[in-house]
Amino acid sequence: MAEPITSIQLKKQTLEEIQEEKMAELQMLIVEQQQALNKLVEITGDLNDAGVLDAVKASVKAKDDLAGIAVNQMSREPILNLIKHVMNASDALSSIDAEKSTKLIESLKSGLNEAELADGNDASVGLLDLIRSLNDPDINRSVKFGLNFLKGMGKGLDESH
Amino acid sequence: MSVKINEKAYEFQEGMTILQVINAYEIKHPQICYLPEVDPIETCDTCIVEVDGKLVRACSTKAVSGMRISLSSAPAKAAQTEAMDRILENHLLYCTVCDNNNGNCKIHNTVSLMEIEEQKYPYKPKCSVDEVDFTHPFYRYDPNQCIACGQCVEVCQNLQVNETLSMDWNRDRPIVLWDSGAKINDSSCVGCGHCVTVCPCNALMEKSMLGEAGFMTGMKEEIIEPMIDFVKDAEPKYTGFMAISDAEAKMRETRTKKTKTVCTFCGVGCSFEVWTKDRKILKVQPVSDAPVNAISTCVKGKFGWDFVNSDKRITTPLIRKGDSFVEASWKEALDLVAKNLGDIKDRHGKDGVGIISSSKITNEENYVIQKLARQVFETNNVDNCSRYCQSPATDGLFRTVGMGGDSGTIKDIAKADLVIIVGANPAEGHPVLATRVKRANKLHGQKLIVADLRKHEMAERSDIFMSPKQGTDQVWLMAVTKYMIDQGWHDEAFIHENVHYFEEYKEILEKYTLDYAEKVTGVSKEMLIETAETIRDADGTCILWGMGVTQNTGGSDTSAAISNLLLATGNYRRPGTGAYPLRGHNNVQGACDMGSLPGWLPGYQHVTDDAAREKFEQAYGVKIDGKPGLDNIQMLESIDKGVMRAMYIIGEDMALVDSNANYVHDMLSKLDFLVVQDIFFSRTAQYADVILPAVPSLEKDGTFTNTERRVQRLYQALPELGEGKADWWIVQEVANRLGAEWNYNHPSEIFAEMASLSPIFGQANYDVMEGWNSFLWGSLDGANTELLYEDGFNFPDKKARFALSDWVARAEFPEEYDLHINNGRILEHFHEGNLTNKSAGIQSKVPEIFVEVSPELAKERGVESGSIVRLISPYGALRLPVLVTDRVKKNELFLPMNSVEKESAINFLTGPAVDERTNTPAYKQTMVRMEVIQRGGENPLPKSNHRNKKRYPTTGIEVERKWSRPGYVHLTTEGKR
Repeated sequence: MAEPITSIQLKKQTLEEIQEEKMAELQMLIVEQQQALNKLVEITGDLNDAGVLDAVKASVKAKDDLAGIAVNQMSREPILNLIKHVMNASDALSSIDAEKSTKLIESLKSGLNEAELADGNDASVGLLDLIRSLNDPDINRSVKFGLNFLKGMGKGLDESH
Repeated sequence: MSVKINEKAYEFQEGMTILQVINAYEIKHPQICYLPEVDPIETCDTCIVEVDGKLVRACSTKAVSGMRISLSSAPAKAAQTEAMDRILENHLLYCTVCDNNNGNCKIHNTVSLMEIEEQKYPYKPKCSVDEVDFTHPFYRYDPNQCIACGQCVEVCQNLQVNETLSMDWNRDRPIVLWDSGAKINDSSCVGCGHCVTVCPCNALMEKSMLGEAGFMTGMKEEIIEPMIDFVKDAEPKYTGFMAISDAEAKMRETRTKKTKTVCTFCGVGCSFEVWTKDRKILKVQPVSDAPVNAISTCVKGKFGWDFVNSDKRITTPLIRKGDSFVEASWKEALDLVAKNLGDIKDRHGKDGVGIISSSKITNEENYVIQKLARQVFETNNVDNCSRYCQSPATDGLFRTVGMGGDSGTIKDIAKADLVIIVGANPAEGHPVLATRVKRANKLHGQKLIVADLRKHEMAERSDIFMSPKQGTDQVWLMAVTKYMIDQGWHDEAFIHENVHYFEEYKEILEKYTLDYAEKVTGVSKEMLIETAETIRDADGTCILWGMGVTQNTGGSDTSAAISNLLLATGNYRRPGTGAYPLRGHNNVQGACDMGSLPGWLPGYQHVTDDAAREKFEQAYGVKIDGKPGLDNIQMLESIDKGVMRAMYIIGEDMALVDSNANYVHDMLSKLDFLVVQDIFFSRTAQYADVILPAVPSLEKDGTFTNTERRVQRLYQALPELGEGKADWWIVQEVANRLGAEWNYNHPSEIFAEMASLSPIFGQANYDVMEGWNSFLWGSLDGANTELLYEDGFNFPDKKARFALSDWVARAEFPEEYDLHINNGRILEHFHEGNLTNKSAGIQSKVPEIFVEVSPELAKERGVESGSIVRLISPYGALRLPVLVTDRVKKNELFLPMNSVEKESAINFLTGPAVDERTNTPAYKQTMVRMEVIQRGGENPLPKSNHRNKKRYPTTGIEVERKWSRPGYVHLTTEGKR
């Protein structure tokens, strides 16, 4: 004979029981993850010694304020400008053919080498030496590159006007 | 046939659009407003291609053999870019801090795909921030992010066909309107969620996603807004921040879990992804791949899942001690269950124990439950709630065509020339299935005939609406059949080739003249003739029916009469025809398929079939009784006689859903031992000695079988809550304590065992049902079968049989009970409401129960909406608020069944009358008298309920109105002319 009933007695765990249960769970975790835990403790120790944890703790607590400051700061004209420069510069760099720039950098290196080698030579260079050196095919190539570069840059400046 | 796309040849099939060909070959191409489920919307212009020198929309241009199509010629690219520019004027790309940045945002992905770097027209908001509409409990609309593509409008008007949304093309900057400009929560919106699902961006969002989906979306407005401005300023080109938001979306993927599941509410069998973050349900996301519903859902499937995380869940085993239930360990509870059930079986024999299974749990669980009954308790006393609803339909089909399932799929229903709905209201009970009928009726000329007591939504939309007297459907069905035969409109050749007993049937039909039918049913002769003519003229008729047919004294015979009509008119064995009893629960079909029935072993092998029984005896190692066991109703009678002493009831609130609840109370109270397994502390659980905590569908693996006979897999989305366990696990623990030695580790092993013993599942297994795939049973060789009977009916000679039965008069009531009380589901709540009443959003729309009273009766009795009445039947009494509505007429009342309270639940009124063949209670045949307790009062239905609003039908998105707007510049060659 079972009359309908609606009362449910939920087991009220005492504080000690809850603690005991959680301790058991924790102990299991320690056994299972001993190595990982050791490393974690070591890392946290190092971070603490370096004062990093204090900084992290403070910034997490102030996270909303910090986000606000960051956004505000970044939106200021000079910073925005700077970021635009970086963005534009990286944009420009990314549009240059990588093969060409490699060649240019190689040439630059070779130029530096040559200059280094000649660094000990104390003899001064006269105007005639300069003109004469244009006959040197290596120097001629460099000068030609420079002149063409100036021409292209001039065109670019004109377009942007 | 082939076309050239970007100079490469592609084969295609006649009738495909260019975009369909492009998508079939998975060629990337922009298509923001394209939705495969509806006709081309043509608002976004991003899919424009160049075809033989002309610019056309790929979505609406049919592919023609020999066409040369360029997706990326300069003019095509220019048109696509201009189209996208126009869109971006309306939508701010703040993807990284947008809750819709989940890898599936159509706008985001199109910007990426088109490699858009900047926009021609700067973004301009359309209205102030406070015009964002947050009023609806489940979703919000932000006009400032809306690109006016109109997908939401098109699905609301032409897929869901609730006809609430429209596009305000007259406005300077078009936005979406609810009705004619109401707040969402004050509109005719039914909350089906279609619009939110198809929105290509974040203009329409589930509220459950807001501030939850992203890593940075929960931040305060004061920080988010300057951050968006900053990103815009710093990075004028889009690739950079698109990369960042892509990275953030990838991060979300690691946290948001997306799990395919099958809906747990009605029998339509919608499947979708459920997105979760830890235990939080972020949203339900339907996908086009879902075989039944594609992108469709109803308010429950899309939004009604709060019950899963409800604090009302039972999360530990409970044992009755004195006048309280006390928490127990699983070991304690299971030991007690096994000991007591075992002892009772030993002392009182096989009939001492009865088991009730559930149409809410999986196939695998139903299988192990019937196995527990037959193997461990050696009894066929196992039944499920199909006894309360669908057994008569199954009986009617078994007698006539040989299989107890829908003849075809939802696609056949959509395809039919004529749909007849008898005693069912799919717009509320099977909402997604109803959408397909509503769409075919609105767009494709499908005719609709509705026979029902109530003028519900489907009745309002029908071409013929007849309202026969309660319980007389069989009479008009037979009269229409007879009239058609008399006129020679039947399908003589089909009958000759396919059906037995035609002559005998004609004899039975003798008395069903139109005059007789008019007299008995009250439906005019003219309407019956019109019905017959409509069936005659239709190329393919599907008949859908529900509890209005089955829950009657003649429920089985009326179901058979429906099947007879279909047989006589040749409406079986081809697409777009057939019989469709609408199964009510997500897995009521499966519960029956799995043999949790007193007379049937798994796979519809009858216990009287010696060969089948021997097969199971061998598999289970026990003798199985060759006689059917007791059904639900007989179990209660057996308790009364003192034979049945214990019951194990799983996932069934018998104390509430069985007819004549006061009697059920007495019987359950008499049991020596009752085990209830449920997710909630149901009314039935109050009678239990032990309550075992089960888990809902989102917390387990398994399969459900829908009304189409389609078996679909569900995958565990959430861990079990508390100590709750999957039902199959619990049943196995009980079985093993009684010596069964089962060893199932996963439901797939149970399914495999079931399939090995059930020929109709012979070719089904978890692999063929992986992901969105599914399996439809229906052939004795176990093959996947969408349409039944293509190779003949399921009898040894392949011929169907006309069922030869007269109609059954309805249950008699003394004269003082002068009002008929009907009952059924409503859209918002599922069944008695145990699941949906945990949803605050749903409760805000339908907070309480009410009885619907016709305006005539209200006037006569002097009541109005909000009055309180007492309804008294010979079996009990209820106290209810009144809702006056013309959905009911004259002396007919309607009481929705979503109540778990003794003073308002229908079954404290219903009586003991049953269907003559299956024992299904005749719930629909109940008479009451009414006493007025209080004249005035507050309307029980909130103003915001959609029933109080008027729909706003349009033909759809009406793109022509966009094209004729002043200032609209066409991008197609045709349009430019």
